Amino acid sequence: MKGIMEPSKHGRAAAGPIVRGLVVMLFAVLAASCQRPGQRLKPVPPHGDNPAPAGRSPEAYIPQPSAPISTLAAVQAEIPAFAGPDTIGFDRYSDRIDAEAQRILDEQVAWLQRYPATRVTIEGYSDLDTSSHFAFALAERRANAVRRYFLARGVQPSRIQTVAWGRDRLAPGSAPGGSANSNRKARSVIALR
Amino acid sequence: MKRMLTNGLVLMLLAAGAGPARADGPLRVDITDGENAPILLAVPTVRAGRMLAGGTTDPGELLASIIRSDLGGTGVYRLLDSPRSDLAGDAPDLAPWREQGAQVLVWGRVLTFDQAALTYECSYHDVFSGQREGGIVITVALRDVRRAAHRCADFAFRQTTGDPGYFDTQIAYVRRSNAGGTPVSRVALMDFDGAMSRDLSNGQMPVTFPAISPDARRVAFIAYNANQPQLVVHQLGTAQFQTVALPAGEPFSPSFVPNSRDLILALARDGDSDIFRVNPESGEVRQLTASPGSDVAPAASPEGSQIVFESDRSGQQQLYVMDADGSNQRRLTFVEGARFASPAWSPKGDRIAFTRIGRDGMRIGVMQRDGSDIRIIPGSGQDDHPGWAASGRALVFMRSGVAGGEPEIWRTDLSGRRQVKVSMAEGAAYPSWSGARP
Repeated sequence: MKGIMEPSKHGRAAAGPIVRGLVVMLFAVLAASCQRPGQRLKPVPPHGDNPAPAGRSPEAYIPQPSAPISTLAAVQAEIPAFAGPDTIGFDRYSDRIDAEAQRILDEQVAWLQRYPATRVTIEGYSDLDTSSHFAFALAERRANAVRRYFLARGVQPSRIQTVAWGRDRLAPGSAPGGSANSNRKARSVIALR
Repeated sequence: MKRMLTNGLVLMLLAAGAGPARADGPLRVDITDGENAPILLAVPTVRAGRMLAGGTTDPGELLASIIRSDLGGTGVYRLLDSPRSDLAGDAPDLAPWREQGAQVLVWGRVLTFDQAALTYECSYHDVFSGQREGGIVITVALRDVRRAAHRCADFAFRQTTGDPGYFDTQIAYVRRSNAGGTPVSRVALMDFDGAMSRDLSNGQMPVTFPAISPDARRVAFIAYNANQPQLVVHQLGTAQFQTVALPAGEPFSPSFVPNSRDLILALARDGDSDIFRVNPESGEVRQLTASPGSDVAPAASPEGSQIVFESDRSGQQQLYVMDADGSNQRRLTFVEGARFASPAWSPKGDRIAFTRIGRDGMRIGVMQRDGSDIRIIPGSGQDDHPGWAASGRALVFMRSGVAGGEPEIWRTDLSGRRQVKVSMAEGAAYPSWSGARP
């Protein structure tokens, strides 16, 4: 856990080649209910004994599996894990996508284009040291900046949803207490259609 | 309370000269800027003589203790000890309180109660003259028994100050909890003192930005339905939850426009947030701002003719004012090195509360409606989201980041000297304070 608490705003990209080599998979359909902030998801074995802890009281905001787990697992087995970082960072009060964020998003775009049966929800988060109202607007701006980036690179609009969480939630890897770059993030959650 | 007691000597001196000033009727005091001259107050305990059903609580003792807590928290009064516990007589015996220097006595007694309802007599007495200056009879359902005390305290507060009290009111808020690592949020409603909290939503959808109408009849909030934030209006006391149709985008920051059925809110889409006005019943929607940048946090003046809001159109967050139709937009705050946010218009119309984001972090404060006379309320952690008491003499706000913990809801007088934690939930955010309950 400690090793992936990021020193820079682009947490996962900065974690180093060894950690980067680990497979990060964000099939929110199957795995979101067991995820904690800052935790890397382990790849789910397609035919493992314990494919997904789906019974752990997912709330309404977690998409519910519409097909039985076994079916989803079979589909999932045909789509390799998205191996890149899912989260980008921003400067204070900013929605500008810098070069490092672009590299991360380019990996996501390539993956989205390779697997058209997927869609992406972009979650916007906000600095913790700003007003609750502005935090929501800023989060929407960040999520929308990522959306525009995806659109400009050919991802169909129908595959993209944005959601602003403001400072109500912490992005994975963020910690309360107002550390310098806390929660200035957007995260791409990739899911099967 | 502690602070009041340390001022005891000064108060005794003030008390000696306070009598003649009240010769023309109820004493008027102004403690807007602090505790200028707290009034020595007696609230005798008048026992009903039998217990509430199934309990060991005498309703007369309970109600007297609530009245003491209500009035004692305002800064207007200094409470005298109430050593005696009397059975109800027809009238209070003022003589022993006069000896202690009491100026005002609030006398409440239970007239009748059964398993369904309670009737309470509440009267206000000038101790020096021995005059009964007014009284009311209050009937409440027994499950709302605390409201009898709150309404008595409201009556006494108005007798003393001429302003409405804020005791028989409610605060809508977001109750946050954690279910096995998953954050859960619910819209909840509590009395102004944090008691009687109850949930209005079940936690299935994440919720945020609750707003209660000034008449305490409606609560609006934002609910994330499958990742899509929606504006929902709930009629209190009913099972009615209306999702309000809005233009495409993500709505947030709703608030009620006084003296109308309308709501104002912000709507974010394509990286731009603007302010809209909507009538949930007719469905009519009007866009009020259209400038680039984030226009957020609209709050209407009490007569509904003006709207104050927060915008970063100048490059950083500042407060702006416009007419209710969106015309005549103008900047209100110009302070070097500080951002201003989260405005709230006082029910008297004379002042605007806000959050200042500066070198000392986030602090709430109060200014005149023209942006002058900025006063910051001392705080800790990150203070935000101020809302007014019906009296215009107190604020509720959200305090976050204390020891990295969950947010809490606090109340303060305008001097900041009397700050009280209100919420009892594990996490409590986004307070919105009503006026008097129906």
